Parts: sequence; structure tokens; C-alpha cells
Amino acid sequence: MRTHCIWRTLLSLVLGLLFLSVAAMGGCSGDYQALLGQLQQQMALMQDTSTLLDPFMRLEGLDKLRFSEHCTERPGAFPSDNALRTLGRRDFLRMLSSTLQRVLHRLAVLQQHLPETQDLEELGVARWNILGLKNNIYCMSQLLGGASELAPTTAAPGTSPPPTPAPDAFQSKLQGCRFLHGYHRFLHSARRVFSQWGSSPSRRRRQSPVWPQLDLERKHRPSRRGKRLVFRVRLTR
Amino acid sequence: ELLHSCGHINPPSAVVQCGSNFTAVCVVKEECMDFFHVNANYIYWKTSHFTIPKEQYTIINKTASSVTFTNIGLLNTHLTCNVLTFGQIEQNVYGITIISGFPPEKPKNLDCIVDEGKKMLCHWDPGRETHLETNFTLKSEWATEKFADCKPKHDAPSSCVLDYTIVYFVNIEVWVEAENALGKTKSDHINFDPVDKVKPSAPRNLSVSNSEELSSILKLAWSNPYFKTVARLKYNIQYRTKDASVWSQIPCEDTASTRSSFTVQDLKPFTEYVFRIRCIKADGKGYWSDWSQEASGITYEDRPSKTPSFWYKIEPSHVHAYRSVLLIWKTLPPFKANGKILDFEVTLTRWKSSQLQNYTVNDTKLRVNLTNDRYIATLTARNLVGRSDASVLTIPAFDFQGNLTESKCYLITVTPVYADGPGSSESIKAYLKQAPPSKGPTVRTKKVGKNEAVLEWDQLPVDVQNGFIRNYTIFYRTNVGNETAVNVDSSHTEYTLSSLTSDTLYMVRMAAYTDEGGKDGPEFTFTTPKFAQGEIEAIVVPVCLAFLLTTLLGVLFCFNKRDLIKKHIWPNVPDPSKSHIAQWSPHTPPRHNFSSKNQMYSDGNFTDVSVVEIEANVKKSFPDDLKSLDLFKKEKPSTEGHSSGIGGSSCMSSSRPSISSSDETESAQNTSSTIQYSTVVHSGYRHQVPSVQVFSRSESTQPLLDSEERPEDLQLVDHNADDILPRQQYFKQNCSQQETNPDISHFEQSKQVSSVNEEDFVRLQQQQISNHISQSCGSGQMKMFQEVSAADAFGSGTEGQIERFQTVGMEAAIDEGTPKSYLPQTVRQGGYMPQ
Repeated sequence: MRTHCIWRTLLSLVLGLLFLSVAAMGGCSGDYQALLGQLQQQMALMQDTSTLLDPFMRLEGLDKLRFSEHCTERPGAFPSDNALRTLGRRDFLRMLSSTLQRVLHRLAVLQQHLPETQDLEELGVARWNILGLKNNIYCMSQLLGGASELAPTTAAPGTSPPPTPAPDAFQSKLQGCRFLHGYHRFLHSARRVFSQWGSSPSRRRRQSPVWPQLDLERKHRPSRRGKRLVFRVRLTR
Repeated sequence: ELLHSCGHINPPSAVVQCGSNFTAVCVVKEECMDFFHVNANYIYWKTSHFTIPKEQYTIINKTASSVTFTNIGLLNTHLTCNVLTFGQIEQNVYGITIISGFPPEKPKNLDCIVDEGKKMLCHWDPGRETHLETNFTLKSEWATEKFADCKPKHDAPSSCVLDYTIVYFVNIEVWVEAENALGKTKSDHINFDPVDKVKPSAPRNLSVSNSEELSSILKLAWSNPYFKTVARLKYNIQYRTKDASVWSQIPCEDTASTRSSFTVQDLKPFTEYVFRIRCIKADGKGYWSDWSQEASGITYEDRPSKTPSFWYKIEPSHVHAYRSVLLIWKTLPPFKANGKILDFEVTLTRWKSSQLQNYTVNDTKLRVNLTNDRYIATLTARNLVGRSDASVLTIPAFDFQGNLTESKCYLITVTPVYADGPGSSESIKAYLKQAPPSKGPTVRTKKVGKNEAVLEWDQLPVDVQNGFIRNYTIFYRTNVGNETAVNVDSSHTEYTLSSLTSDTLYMVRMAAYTDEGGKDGPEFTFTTPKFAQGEIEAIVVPVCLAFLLTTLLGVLFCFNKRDLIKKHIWPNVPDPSKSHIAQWSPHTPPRHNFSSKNQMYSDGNFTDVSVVEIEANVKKSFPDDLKSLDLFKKEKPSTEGHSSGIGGSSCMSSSRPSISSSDETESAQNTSSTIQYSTVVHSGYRHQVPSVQVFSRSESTQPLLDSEERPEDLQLVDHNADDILPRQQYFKQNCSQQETNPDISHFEQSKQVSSVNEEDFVRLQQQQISNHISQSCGSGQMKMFQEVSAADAFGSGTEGQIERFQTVGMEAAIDEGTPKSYLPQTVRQGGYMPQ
């Protein structure tokens, strides 16, 4: 009798989750190709530095030519291009979602540090775009059958915490600049991964079952591109 | 206070759906009833100031009365419950407000538009008017986000602007909910990507520039809206000339991709054009932007496309031998000038001289002094790009007064000259004086029929007309008849003469007339044919058809009566080749035990049995016999199957005389040296009943061996031929069958013959030794003969036995040393070879 009650409870839970899952699919496109196209176009739009980094630098008084050398991505802040490409689809989506969640937090911090008299409209637009991107990632996960793992409001565990704001205002501007640089680069890399996805949701072009299962503690791993991007990612499953 | 407490109405307020029924109940307090000395009967209802008829009341009890409204229409009124106190004073007890209306309809046609740079606006069709206060709420959500409700403003209740930032490439779900006092409903959900609902900003900074290389193009350039970074665009580009009101559009397929410039072609040179442009998402989803601001540009110049109108005036001059000539021309209109005309160039050339006078003029006239000679004047207009073609004008010589001659045609042209140039000219032909034509027209026939002829002629040349040809006259006559004249209008060049006589010679001539007289042309003769076209065919064809029909009928008659005709003209002659052999004679008992096959024929079936005689010269040497056999063999193919019927041989030996076997004795006498074949005729000739009854028949033409005959026959033969070899008679049996199957092995044949006995064997041996040769059916028949013999001899014996027998037979003949017979001999096992 007791076992029977437990089974009934579990069944109710599963049905409830299923119902919630279906209900949440209200706005998702069921067309894989269309959704993939939307993701790629979103990222193509967001990777452009004119959407966020450039206005930020203008607002903060950072000359693009002069500070381009200093305004580079902090190693480990975002997963490298290579790391993203070695992930399986669902792991990639999970990684993308958690990273974007972290970006949202950081953008909120940046907004707080901006002078009260100055409002960066692009920052607000970027936040909406990130939310939209996360929505499409969620929908893609639904199509791939793993949306429940993507909690839009929680940051991925193990990711490096936002750097402590430097006491110096200038350093704070530079940190913001470097973060946004990494953000655009990360979106660029992610778009390239999406562009390599196949035409069918069931087909896996590249699946790396090993990498996400490991606790990655890679320090100072040189990037293939410039040996400057070093990331520190810790994934748990 | 008193009234307030005296009663109430249920329901206290009412929103009623149009078309429904509504009932209100007024309950008056009892103390009021007592105070005013009234009861429910004193209650009456009013809407606004009108008393409701008592038919609609219902007295529920002493204190309550109700009123019912059926099928309520649109109303918004007050309903009061009143009592008549003391029988005459109206007192209002209670009042409510009644409002009628409709529940909200399901909102339809929900759609949204994203004005670039603005928020998203959604609009819908709210449905019919509810006449009630209806609230619409626009709801929207992502899969992971619910957005705040959007409440329309009062002045625009069917549209709402979403307050949040629209994100492209994320599907959003939108719907509308409508609610009023009578109900709540919602529209269908629409799910879309906002990028497909964008109305881009209009292209900015449109500019137009021309090209010095090409006067027919203009280059457009513009700034695209920011939306270009989000999605690809396509465009509409329209243009018109400055003074036109109708826009022309560049083909859409030429502007279907994102661009920021475009070259418009096929424009007129030096013409001002106005342009405008708008854009939309390249896949056509969304909305067209507004038109851009108009921009204009002028195409570059081209050389003048037309020559200026050019004329002259000759003015009197006081200088001898010179005259003053005023050359005038028009300015070119802009569409011909193709630019700004800088100057005109006039060139004067004296007739038959190379002397040129060049003038460059900015004005539209030029005065020159010319000699009295004839001049050629040319005029060209020049603009920045080049010169026009030249207008050429001839200025006649001064002495052109006219040496006009009579009876010569002149073309007189008059051109008006206005202040700004010459007008359109008019021409006319004229004669100073007319005269009769100097030559008459030559007539000829175009087509000649039995009773008509078509005549034709050519117009007279102008040189011989000598005036205006007014009419023609055709004269025609026969050799003996009177001449007939026919007038024909001068515009015609052919005429048909009718009512002519057939097979008649006609003479025809023609005269042309001017106002001053006429002139005859040469005479022409023609002969009308005797028959009209097709007339001969109309006679011959029916005659031929009648003949053919008669012949056909005759053939058909003969065919139908062919039996009768055949009977009387060429009766049937029996064909001997189809004869059959029967038993020899009715009074001769059967001597052979023929096979069952023979026995199966009844007597009545016997038909023809013929007798064929074959000479058998016993004294002939053996080689000769062999030769004759060879010869026979060679003739066999041509003789097989042929028969001579009565009196002829059957199967072969056609050169031998044959005798009918009706008289056996006679036959025996006449064939002392021949072998006779007989035929018993059953049916007779031409229905004659045969005198001899037939007993058996053989289908073969193979002559039978004498040895096969019964001893009685042999005796009979021997009796008629003493010393010479006995006449050998053979019944033909299965001759034709044997001929057609010459290759059947004799072993097989031997098996077919079952009834044999020892006596037959002995007789065969004797016959072989006696060298009596009988041959009538060629080698095949011979083979048959031998086969039958062998079969008779051995019956169902084995092959070895047969072979042995054959070998013995041959050896016997050789041993005798007298080749007396050309009986086929066995040369090897299983076959025969003629010897």
C-alpha cells in the first residue's frame, strides 16, 4: 500500500512536470531549422561590437583605438572557441545558457556602476537580447529533449564569479570593457558552433561525452588563436 | 427617507443582454402598505417618464408585483416602482438602472506591426459594438517569459502598444482578451517572430547624380535604415519626369536585394526626373516602409536628335545680280534638343560649285545676299555634346519663272511660311492646257470564258496622258457583228465583257479620253472557247460511270449464275489425280487380305479405279532398265501428283497408253506386254451410274506387285500371255500418301502391314528371282512396293531378319547373273538405293 502511494506520487510529479513543460512551450517554434536560423541570426546581431562594446566605450570615454590593446578579454572569463566546439549539443546549450545568465548578472553590475545621469540604452537592449537568446536556447533544448536542465534564472554552478570591482574607477571601466569584449567574442564562437549544426535535431555532428563529464580545471590553457584566451571552467553534471 | 424605506426592487441593478427577457420585482413594506392603504395592485412601473402597461405586471402577493420585459432591445434607462397613495397620489417606491448590450465577440484579425525604432503595436477587430463598457487586454509571452499586460487607451480600444523592447528572432505569442458585464472571451493566439512584422524606417539621404558618359542614366544613392543590419532588404524605386504626375516603377526583380545605390536606365537625355524609394524585408514579410523624401536629377545632354525646321524668304534687292535671302528656322523643343543649344551652323553651297559659305548663328535667322544662282542651304544645331543632323533646303535660281508647256503635268506645291517658320505644305497636279492622249491604252485578256472575257490594261504613262484621263471606252465586235462600246471609269484597270458567244472570234480595242478628246489603242483579238471549263468533264464522267456500272452488274449476274453457265458451257471433267483404286471387279472375290484400313471403306465409297499400262520389255537389257529408271526418277518431281484421268496413267507413265478397265478381258488382250492398272468408277461421268460395282479402294497410286496378287489373278494373266513375261497387274494403293512420305523407313512401313503369311514371303522371293520389274510410282513407289513385300514377308519380324532377307534377295539376283528387274535393292542396312 505504501509502495502504491509512492508510485502514485511519482506519477503525479512526472505528469505535472510534463504539463508544465508543454505549457512552457507556448512560444517556442517547433521547427528546428527555423529555430536554428533564429539563433544564428541573433548571435550574428549580438556579436557585433557596435551593439554594446562600442557604445559602452564611448560612454565611458575609452578611445577605441587607444585602448584596444588594454580592452581585451580576461582569460577564463568565457569558454574558448575550442572548448565550445568540443561540446555535445545539449552540453553546449547548457554551457551557453549558464554563461549568458552570468553575463546578465554582470550587465546589471555594469549598469549600477554607470553614472546615474548616464543611461546606456544599448545595455538595456542587450539585456533583452540575451533574454531572447536564452529563450531560444531553451526552445532548442526542448527540441533536443533536455530543456528541464536549463533553468533560466540560475547561473551555472562552478562558473567563475564576477571579478571583484576594482577600487579604481578607471580599472572598473577597463574591466567592463574587457568583459564586454569577451562577451562579443564568446557569441562569435557560439555562432560558429551553431553554424556547424546539422539540418536535423536528431543528428549529432560532434558529440564529446567525455569533456562535459569531467571537472575541468584548466588553467592557463593557451588559446589556439592568440594564446591569450585562458579560461577556467568547471562543469558538473 | 420614507420612500427609501418603503420597498425595493430585485435585482437592484441590471445589465441585460439584448434580445433576452428581464423581470423586476418590486416588494413594498407592509407598514407602508398599511400607512398608505395600498396593496400590490396599487403598484405600477415606469421607465423614465412612461408608465409600463399593466399587461406586463404580475401580482405575486399582497406586497410584491413584478414587471417583465420580453426581447429587450437596446436601452439604458431607469425603471421605477411606484404606488398610488390614497388612490391618487403617485409615490415612487424604488428605482434601478437597466442597461442592455451584448457580450464581447471574439476579437479577430489580431496582428502586430513593429515600427522600426518604436515599440510594437498590435491591433485587432473587436467585433460588434457591445454598448457596454468592454475591457480589452493584450497579452504576450515568450516560452520563458510572460510580459506585462497591455491595456488599450480609451481613444483606441482596439490597439495597444507593447511597452517592452522587442527582440528580433525570438518567437512571441500574442492574444487579446475581451471582457464586459455580460461575458469574457479571447482571440486566437498568434505566434510570430517580430522581425517578420517590421515596418522599416524609410531610406534616408536619397541623392541623384547623372553620368557624362551616358545621357540616358541617373545614379541613385541612399542610406539604408538600421534594420538593414538585422535583415536583408528589397526596394521599390519610383520615378517620374518633373512635370508628370504618374510614377513609373523599376522592375521589382532588379531591386530585390540589399543595396544602397541603383542606376536607372533608359531615361531621356537632359530631362529632370524625380525619384523616391521605400524598402521592406527581402522575403516580403512585414510592411513596406514609408516613401523616402523625393530627390530629383537631370540626365546629361545628348546631341540633338532632330533637325530644326528651315525655310527661306527671298526679299527684293537693289543690287543687280544679287538677291537678299532670309533664312529662318525654329528652335528645337527640349526633347529634341537634348541639351542646351549653343548655336546653329548654316552652310550655303552654290549649285554645281564647291564654294561654301559657313555661318555660325546664335539667333534663329540669317540674312544673306546670294547671286541669282540656285543654292543648297544646310542647317545644324549644336549643343554641348554634338551637332544635329543637317536640314537641307534648296533655294531656287532667280530666273525660275516657268517655261510651262501645254499638255504637260505639273505638281504645284504651296508651303505657308509663318512668323516662326514654314507650315505643312499642300500639292496639286495641274495642266496648262489639256490635249487628247498621244497614245491609247493597250488592252489584253486576263481570262477568257465561254461567254465572258476579263480584259485588263495598264494606266497610261503621265507623259502620254496629256491631260486628266476621264474615262476609257472599250469597243468589241465579232467578225460579222456590230461593234459594241462600253465606258469604263478611269480608275479601273480591268473590265469583264459578258454575254459573249462561245467559239467566236472577238476583236477588242480601247480608247482613253481626256477633257479634250480620246485616242484608240491597238486592237486585240481573242476567241471564246466552245465549252466552258469543266463542261467536258461533266459529260464524260457520267458516261464512264454508267458503263462501269453496267459492266459491274453483268459480272455480278455471271457470278450468281455461274453454276448454270458452267453446266452448259464447260461442264465438270473428273480429275484423274483424285482417283481411287478399288478392288478389281465385282465378280472377282477378294483375293487380298488387305489391312483393316482398306476394309474400313464400304463398297459405296469406292470411286475411281483406273487401269494404267506399263510396258515391261523383258528383253531389255538390265542397264537400259536402270537408265529408264534414272530417267523416271528425274521426271518424278514433275509428274508426281498429276494424273490423266480416264485413259491416262495415274501417278506416272503418262506417255503410256492406258485403257479403261471396264472390260477385264479386253484389257488383258491389249496389254499383252504391259502392266495394267485399273480404276473402278463409282459415281460415273456426269451422273451416269457405273455398271461395275466397286469393292475396295486404295489411296495409294503405288502399283502392286504381281506376286501380291492372288494365284487366280496370276493365272488369269498367264493365260493371256503365254511366253512373254506375264502381265503384272498391281492395285494402286496409297500412292499419293506414299509419294508425300517417301522417307518413311521401310521398317516402319513393314510394321504397318500386319497380315502377312508365309505364302507371301515365298511369292516375293520368287518374284525377285524372276526379275519381273514393275514400276509405276517412281522410286518412292518402288520403295513402297518393296517395303510391302518385306513387310508381308516378315510381318512383325526383327530388323535383323529383314536385313538378312534383303541381302539374300540381292545375292540371289546376282547369283543368277541376269539382271532382269530394276527392283530396288538394299545397298546397306536400313535403306534402299535404286539399281
